[in-house]
Amino acid sequence: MNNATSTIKKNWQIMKKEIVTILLSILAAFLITGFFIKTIGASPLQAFLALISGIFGRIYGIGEMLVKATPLLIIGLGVAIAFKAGLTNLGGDGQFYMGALAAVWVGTTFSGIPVFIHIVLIIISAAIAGAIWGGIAGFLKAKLNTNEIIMTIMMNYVATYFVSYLVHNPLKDPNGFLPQTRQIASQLQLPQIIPNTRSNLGILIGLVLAVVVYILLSKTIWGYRIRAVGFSKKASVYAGINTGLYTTAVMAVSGAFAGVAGMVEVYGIHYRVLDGISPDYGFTAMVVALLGRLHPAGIIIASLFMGSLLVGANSMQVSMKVPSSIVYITQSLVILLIIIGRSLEGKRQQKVLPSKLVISMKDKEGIVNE
Amino acid sequence: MKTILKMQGITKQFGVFKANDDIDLEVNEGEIHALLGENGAGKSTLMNILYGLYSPTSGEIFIKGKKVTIDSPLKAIDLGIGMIHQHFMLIPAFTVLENVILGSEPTKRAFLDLQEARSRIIELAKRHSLRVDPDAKVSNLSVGLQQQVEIIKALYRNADLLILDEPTGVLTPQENVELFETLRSLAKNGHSIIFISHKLDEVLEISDRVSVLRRGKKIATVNTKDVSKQELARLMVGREVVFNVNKEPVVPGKELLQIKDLHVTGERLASTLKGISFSVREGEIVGVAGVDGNGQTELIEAIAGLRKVESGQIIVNGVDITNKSPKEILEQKVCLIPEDRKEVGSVNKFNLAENAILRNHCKKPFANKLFINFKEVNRHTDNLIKEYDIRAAGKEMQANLLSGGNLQKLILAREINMKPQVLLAMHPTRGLDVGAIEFIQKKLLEQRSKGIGILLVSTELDEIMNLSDRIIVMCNGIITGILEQKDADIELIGRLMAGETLSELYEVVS
Amino acid sequence: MSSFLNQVFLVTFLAASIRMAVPILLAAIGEIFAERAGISNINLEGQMLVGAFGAFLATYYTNSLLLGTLAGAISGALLALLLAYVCITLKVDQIITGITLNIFATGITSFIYRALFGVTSLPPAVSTYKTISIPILGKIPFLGPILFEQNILVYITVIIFIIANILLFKTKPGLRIRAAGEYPRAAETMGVNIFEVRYISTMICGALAGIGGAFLPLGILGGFVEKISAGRGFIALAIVIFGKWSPYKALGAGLLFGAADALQLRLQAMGMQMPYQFLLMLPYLLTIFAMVFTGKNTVGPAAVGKPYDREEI
Repeated sequence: MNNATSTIKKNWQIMKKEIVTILLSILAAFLITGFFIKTIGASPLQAFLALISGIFGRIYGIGEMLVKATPLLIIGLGVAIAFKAGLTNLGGDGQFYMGALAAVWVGTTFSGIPVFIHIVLIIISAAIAGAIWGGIAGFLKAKLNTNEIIMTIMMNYVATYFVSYLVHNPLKDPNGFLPQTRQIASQLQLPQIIPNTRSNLGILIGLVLAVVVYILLSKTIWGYRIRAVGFSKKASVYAGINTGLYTTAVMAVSGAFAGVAGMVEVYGIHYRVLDGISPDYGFTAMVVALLGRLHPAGIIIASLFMGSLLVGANSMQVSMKVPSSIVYITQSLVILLIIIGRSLEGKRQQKVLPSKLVISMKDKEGIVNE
Repeated sequence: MKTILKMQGITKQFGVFKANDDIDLEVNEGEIHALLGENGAGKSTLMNILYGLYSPTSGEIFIKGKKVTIDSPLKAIDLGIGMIHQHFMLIPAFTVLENVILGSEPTKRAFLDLQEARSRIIELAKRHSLRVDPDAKVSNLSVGLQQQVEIIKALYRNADLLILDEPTGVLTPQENVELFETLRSLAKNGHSIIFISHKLDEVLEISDRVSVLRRGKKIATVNTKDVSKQELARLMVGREVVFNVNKEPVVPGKELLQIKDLHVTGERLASTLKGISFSVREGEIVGVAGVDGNGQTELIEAIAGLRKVESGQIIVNGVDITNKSPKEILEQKVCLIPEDRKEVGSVNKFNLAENAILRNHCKKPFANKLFINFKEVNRHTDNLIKEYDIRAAGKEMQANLLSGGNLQKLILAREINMKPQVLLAMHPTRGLDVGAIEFIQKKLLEQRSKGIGILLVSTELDEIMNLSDRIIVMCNGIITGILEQKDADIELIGRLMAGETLSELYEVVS
Repeated sequence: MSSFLNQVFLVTFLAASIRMAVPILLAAIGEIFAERAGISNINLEGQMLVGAFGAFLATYYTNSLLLGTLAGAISGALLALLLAYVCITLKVDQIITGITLNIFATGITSFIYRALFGVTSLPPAVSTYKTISIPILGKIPFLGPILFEQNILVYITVIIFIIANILLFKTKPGLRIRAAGEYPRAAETMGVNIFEVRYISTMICGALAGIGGAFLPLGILGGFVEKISAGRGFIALAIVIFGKWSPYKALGAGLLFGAADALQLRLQAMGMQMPYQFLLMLPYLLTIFAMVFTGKNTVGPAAVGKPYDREEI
């Protein structure tokens, strides 16, 4: 029993340090952001108040926070799985678009199917579309060792232009002039969960997926293998794991998550696909995954935080004419400061820890640390 | 006798861990001074301080009587110190010439002046009977030749004091003899040499004086001719050391592992297997001797399913496992202790429990269909820790924080626990302290008594000769000879390691 | 279709290919330096972007192309300095830092641009580089207009490539850069200061990427749009791999991409039936193909991407 309490105490110490690092980084990032706001002639304090009131001032704001957090959460979970396997999936945008596309196509092309089955088909098709888009990069990495960072980014551009073409031509809504697809049937729309807001079932789907990912990574054989491949490819081969298969599969799963995120965004908010439906969700989701330390619980919190930043930035732009792109400055500074903080802490631990072990391990033969 | 180097009160702390604790060292001009200690005693750390790679926490260094601060290798080189590291500091993609001049490049206007450097290198090589070709690419050179390049590097910079860190691990006995001759010639020419080693016989043979380190402290400095092997061992380890291994006689049983005319493409031409045939029987240890890089790694990898076999057969208990996957080979009860315990044998960021099931994580009782049964895994890990005396702060600990000896014990425990019929052990005691070495060798002999067939690869000839029932010697990807333990002697093995085959030697005799 | 083979078309197309290739080529040569020294600079895209914006701002306010290009180089180098500090001194992971700084670059350029110029129907314009015709050589039929009637930055790019190749393979700094990227510990034991070599290489990369970025508003577009770099930094990364970290091989690949860029503009202008989006995809598809057909065993400098710690036990 002694061991358990000391482990919990040790974990709490680590958590405390982590929370302090995060809070300090956020504070510093906000201060620097405030400096930028000041240089364009606006008052940082007023801007900050606009941000807070934009989110928490009214129920619509809270709803918006959930709305913005949902795609970040779902894509972020996928990015985290990829990171765990040692892969960097920056293709969230492209996979999101393909998923949204497939979802809308299945939703508007077929009719007369019972709603429940239709929705299931829609989700599956979005997942498959995203999985293919991500799986291609994974397969190429497994077979040819092509750099998945460059590959997924290239595929983002291809997907974005492809969808743009489709919404301007073949899939364009015949009832209007705007470049967008037809609207999906109202019975297929994801139900609202908070009245007077845009917030919908999507966030709950995200939470369920978070639980699924947690169980997958920490309790299953698949999770064990994913983590092994991420830490040491050579040891994984020795362990009998098919590293090529896992590389491909993980990228596919990661893509599937982004694809589902696309479906949720369409079926919960826009009800159709338009040009530019994803404002760089893929990169923001990566930031969310890192902030959350690749842990589903952390990712949930990080996505809510990032979502509120996005909402706040919008209200700052509306009320004070501060360009909303400032949110990219804030979010990149937050993550930069946090990873610097974590890196410094990690190096400090490394220098201290081995000695403690030597002391506890000393015996009459003196087995010393190498 | 002039003192060329004096290190006084050197302490080096990493956090709270003292790698060097108040060490004094003096070396005279023209002396070959051995620095003796077990793996982990602090020898390399001390020399890294001398070479400017580490800065001491406290203490002073005097070169030729003058106090100096060595804060970078450049400074050390300026002071006339040259270091030949255990793991060569050579850039494989560069030529010998580029490696030698790096850091002291001769230039003509803005460009590299290779002409002058090339002739200097050739001249130095001739003077000390070293065989190096300046334009050869380092990755194509044998290990022995690479070491000669390292020596040239130091001489090119007019080093007075040469430090050699465990230089003999990668040499054949003959190359060893050559190296010692070179060292004696250098010493006679006024160079001073610090010879780092953990091997008692070598130290007794080559050095004038010996300084013994143990657990970061200097224990004693003695004149080599005044001390015995037993005394040195006691100083080095801190207790009496038994040199002979107790091997009980075991009658070998049927053939468990058969290798038939195996051809495997290797990292280099020298290590490509060109037709290997032998067998391992129940209850016997077959030792594979040879300089690293002559195909031993490829052989083990091929058997374990980690490398493709071009032609030939590997048969275990009648089942052909050639080119099967590592998983299938494990099913046939062939287990492997890999050469690289940190990168291959374990996942460094996994904890002990996760590492304990690395090879059979999907099997009952550790896994049930999709889910891992952590209770069983923990129980299993606790058993292993107890039975193999693995010192760790807990099974939650990350594997990369384990000492080498404990990590190797964990790997050994894991593999043996899977009840193999054939156990492949590649350099199982490399880099470990005496206590761990004894433990692992004991365990291997235990398994032998239980009827397991063991294939042991090692560069420590003592180990091979003490543990093996039969010895296979490899050179250049072929087997140059197979000997019974009773017929094995160092000189014969040395010649086989250098490339002469047993049949050639028999011809000479008859 | 017949106009395709029209000599005039071909000449202007090839000349444009060279022009469009300049940003990617400059970024690629910079990245070769960084990666040869051991730094995997994913922030290349961001450095091009800040270079483009810095150049645009400077030229907008001073009307000087020279100051603009200089401003571009400095902007890129400053961002690279930040990356160098975080990755070399603080030893943070290079990939994550690079991606994060890309987001930062997008944020800061879009923010300042919006703040200064707002959303206008007529975007602010700057002057662009004029074509300089080299006497005699410019008059050679066919090749003349393609190779010798370009703007000054194109000529400078060629010179940079030649210098880079000589520097990397025939000089002392070049040897040390390559050593730092292959086996930094070995180089350190010979007295090479790894930190210094990597810092300088990274900043050279940033400056070159910045100049490449500067060429986008000053040599092609005549103005600035948000995210003007449009993934060219990543295409440059692919070119470095495809060109096996060697300047001249990368040159060939880069020209090919310039051609793809130039082609899609031309085909659009010609009113081809194909929807413009597919043409815009061309450079990225080409990159994907190039990556697939790059040899499987193409390995770069052995130590690229790994932080170097002198006192690592």
